[in-house]
Amino acid sequence: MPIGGFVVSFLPDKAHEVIGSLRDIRGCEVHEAIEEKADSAVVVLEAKTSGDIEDMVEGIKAIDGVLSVDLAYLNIEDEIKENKNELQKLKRA
Amino acid sequence: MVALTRRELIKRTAALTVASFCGINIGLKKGGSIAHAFDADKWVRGSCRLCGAGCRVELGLKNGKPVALRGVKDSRTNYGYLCMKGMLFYKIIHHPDRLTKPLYRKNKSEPFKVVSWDKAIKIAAKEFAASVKQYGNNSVAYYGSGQALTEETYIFQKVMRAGLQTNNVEGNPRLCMASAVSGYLTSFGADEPIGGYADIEKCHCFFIIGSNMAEAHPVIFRRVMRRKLDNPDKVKVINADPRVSPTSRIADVHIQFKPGTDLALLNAMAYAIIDEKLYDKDFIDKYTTFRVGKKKKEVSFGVYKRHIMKYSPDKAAKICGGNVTPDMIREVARMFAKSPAAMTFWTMGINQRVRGVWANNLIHNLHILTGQLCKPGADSLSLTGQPNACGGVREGGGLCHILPAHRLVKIDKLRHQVEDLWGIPRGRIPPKPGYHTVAMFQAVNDGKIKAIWINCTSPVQSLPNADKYKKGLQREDCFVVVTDIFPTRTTEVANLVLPAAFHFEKTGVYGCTERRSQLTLKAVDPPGEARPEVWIVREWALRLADELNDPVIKKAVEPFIGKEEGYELPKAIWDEYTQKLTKGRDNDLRGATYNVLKRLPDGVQWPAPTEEFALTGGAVKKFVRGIDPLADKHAKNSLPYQFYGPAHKDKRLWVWLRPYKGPAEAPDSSYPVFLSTGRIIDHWHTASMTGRIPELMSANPYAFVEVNPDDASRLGIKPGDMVLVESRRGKNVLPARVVEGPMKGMVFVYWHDQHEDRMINRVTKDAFDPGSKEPEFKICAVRIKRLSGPKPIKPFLVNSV
Amino acid sequence: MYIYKRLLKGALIAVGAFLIGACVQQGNMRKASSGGHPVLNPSEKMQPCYECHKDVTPDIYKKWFDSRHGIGQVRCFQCHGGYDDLKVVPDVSKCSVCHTKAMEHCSTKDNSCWTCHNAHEFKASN
Repeated sequence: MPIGGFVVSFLPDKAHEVIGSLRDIRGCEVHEAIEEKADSAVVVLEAKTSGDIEDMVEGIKAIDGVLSVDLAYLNIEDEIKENKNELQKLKRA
Repeated sequence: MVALTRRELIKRTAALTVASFCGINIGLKKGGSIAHAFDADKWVRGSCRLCGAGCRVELGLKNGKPVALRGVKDSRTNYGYLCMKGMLFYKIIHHPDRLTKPLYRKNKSEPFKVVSWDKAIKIAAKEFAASVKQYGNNSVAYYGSGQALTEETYIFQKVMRAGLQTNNVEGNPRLCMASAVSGYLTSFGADEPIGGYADIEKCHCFFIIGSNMAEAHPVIFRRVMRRKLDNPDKVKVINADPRVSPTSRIADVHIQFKPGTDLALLNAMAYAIIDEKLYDKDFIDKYTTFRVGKKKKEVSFGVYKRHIMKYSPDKAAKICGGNVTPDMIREVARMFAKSPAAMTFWTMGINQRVRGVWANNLIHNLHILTGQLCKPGADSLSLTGQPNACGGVREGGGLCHILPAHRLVKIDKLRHQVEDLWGIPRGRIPPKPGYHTVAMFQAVNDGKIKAIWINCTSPVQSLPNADKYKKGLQREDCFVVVTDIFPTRTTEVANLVLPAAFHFEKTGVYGCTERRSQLTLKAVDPPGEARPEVWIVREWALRLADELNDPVIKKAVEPFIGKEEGYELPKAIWDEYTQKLTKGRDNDLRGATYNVLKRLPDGVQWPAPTEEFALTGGAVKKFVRGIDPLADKHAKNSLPYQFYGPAHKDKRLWVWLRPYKGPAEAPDSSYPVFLSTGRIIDHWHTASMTGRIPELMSANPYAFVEVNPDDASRLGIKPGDMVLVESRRGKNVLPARVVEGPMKGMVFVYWHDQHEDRMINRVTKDAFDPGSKEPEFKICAVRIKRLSGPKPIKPFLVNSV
Repeated sequence: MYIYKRLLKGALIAVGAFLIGACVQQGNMRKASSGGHPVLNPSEKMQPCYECHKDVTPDIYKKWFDSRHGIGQVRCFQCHGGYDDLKVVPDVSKCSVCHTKAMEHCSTKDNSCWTCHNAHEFKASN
């Protein structure tokens, strides 16, 4: 399962609502900034495929008050392994 | 459960990574435990297993399994610092390739069969006994290692000498520091350096010649680098080497001379010191004589001056070539002589020379002439390659001409001392030294040695002109026993392979470069049926006594019978060696008992005759009254320095008149290029250990040949191209690295690779120094040729027996 | 004001993303290994990290090369791990293998070494 680390930037005024919406998303871990009046947060997304993560990113972008979602970390080691296994299975079949 | 933890780790990393890039404080770290807490529940103290620096480490265990290594911060060698090898060698302890059962085959063409220990020891005893009975005592031999514990080398040589009555006791330190031994003995009258690492922080001029200490001794280099970078103007660094190496980066002056011209350079530096009157007349008058020739004839300072006039900087600069100019020679001589305190470091670039002893003498000459000795910050310090070449082999009697505690075999009085201390009849140890290393393997080739025990080293890869000596070891009439922890090129030619315990799987002492003895305690059990060598030798000796019906063999190991092998047995051996054999000798170690060594974070620098003195850490400087207790004890006058070493009856330092001599094999029209070899930071010797640590192997997966950019463009060699390196003896095919490292007309190859195409010792030359018998690994003539463009190369290790 | 801040952050992120090679290129994610490094073939894996990073992250390379770590042969993988266990931000435990003494005297115990000693050059900034 791939894991991605993102920075979500938002309007400081909407911080409360945005953070709340993020917490509602399954597979989304939210790390709020410690400072008051923060304008961004770190989120860690976990999904079955990297495609699913892309969908989640699109979902977050749609939240009212969100300005951008930027990727800074991605781990898809497991996915590569799984793909390899699938391939091997196919080969054997 | 494991998967969950790992995923959590990745998620945490993800969050922290993002946060650190954007400067967002997400507070994940707040309130957590300090990150430097390793996941270990017990720490056991010891020395690093690899180079001769003597770094102290602690092995971390969790549920009895090794999980980490860390530096010991209070250690006076490394102050907590470790290189990558030192951080990671714990991974060897439970490595799946470990040898875990005794293996035997009658003929070397057959596959090995697992045998019991009882049977293995019986076979080893029968073969050695049969050889002694049929071909005499000198038909058997022991070839050991500067990586064996002192207890191991001591008991091996005791059984060979007292038991089997042969001085065929050698070891790989012959290949690395025999020239340094002879150099110290002939110049200072006593083996091993006067000072130590503590001088680094007080030194004002470092002269580093024939040593890439940044890679071969990185943690000691760190101290030199720090001294230089903290005092960029006050501290000068001179680096002399035909190759620009990572060590050169801290140098104010890099002297790039043609391989094999070091004797001319060093004599010319002495010329400048004499010519410009930079010598310390008072020091010379008080402490020095001048000597020449095989008969060690004493001559006057005037005769020395006339001799040195043959090596004017103008003349030497012509011999040395490279970037050397007469002004440069004079400049570095001035830097050295005028410095408040100067230190020289050297390693194999000086020792592995056909005149390595002379090169050592000429370095010592510079120090004696200028009085750069015995005072704080000044020393002539030979860095040792292996962790226990000094302690085990030089001091423990591990070479064919020496007995324990710096005694020469050929001196009747000293030999009889040893026989008396061992309680064996006088005359038991033969008066004639045994075969030195090259002669020993030549004797194997010639069929004179019928049984050889090779311990903890891989001569098939590490001997110069390796193919020549491999042939001998392949002979079916030479029985080869190998004790090791992994399969190597040498287990491939063995009849009997005995699985040994690794570091931290047994207890014992290592003695590093600076006369410092340090204890490593057993932390874990060896895997499978692997056993400590001290146990193996004891059991073998007892069986030999039966086979040869000789009670004196049993007598040699009698004090050790019945002792528990993990701690009690090595302790009993150490006690016998230190309390009996080193008593009254210059390396008096009576104070360095296991109890004292366990109490100190590092260890003890000998001489240390009492426990009370040993607990202070021992003697930081030899020969200095008030610091070295033996200097006070042996004082003949009121002078502050007392050179009481056993080799000089006049108790003085000797300045030697040594002529220039080039290498054994210089380039010619057929083989026009110099070849030199060396180590790379990530690998240790033949890579049987470091090659099995994934981080180190992937950092340097194979050997390559370094080619100077000028030569590369002349020969059409591009980076990564496959290049043939061929000498009169053998050839290698290696990928090229085009780099301003070796000088024009010279190539450089690392020697760790076990692949037969990249084992550079198949190419090197086995000419050796007539004094020290150390081979000239560093110089031979080759031709090089581009064979093809880059080819994919797989890392290679011998991984089966 | 906050737009600038956001732009700046965007730039930082872009650099960061490039560093770890996990680039989002026009919405397409490039395949990456553990730690986000671009996938390397076996022979690329056998190159020292700095062979590439000399070019892709020249500032970091230079800082490291001229630092005491660089001169003293403490190389990328010693702190960051290798390709298979890459950590963009190393564990502080990696520092403690050698620097326990300094860490005992560190007043900001809950912080990482690079809070005060700038990463890669490790000169005390204060």
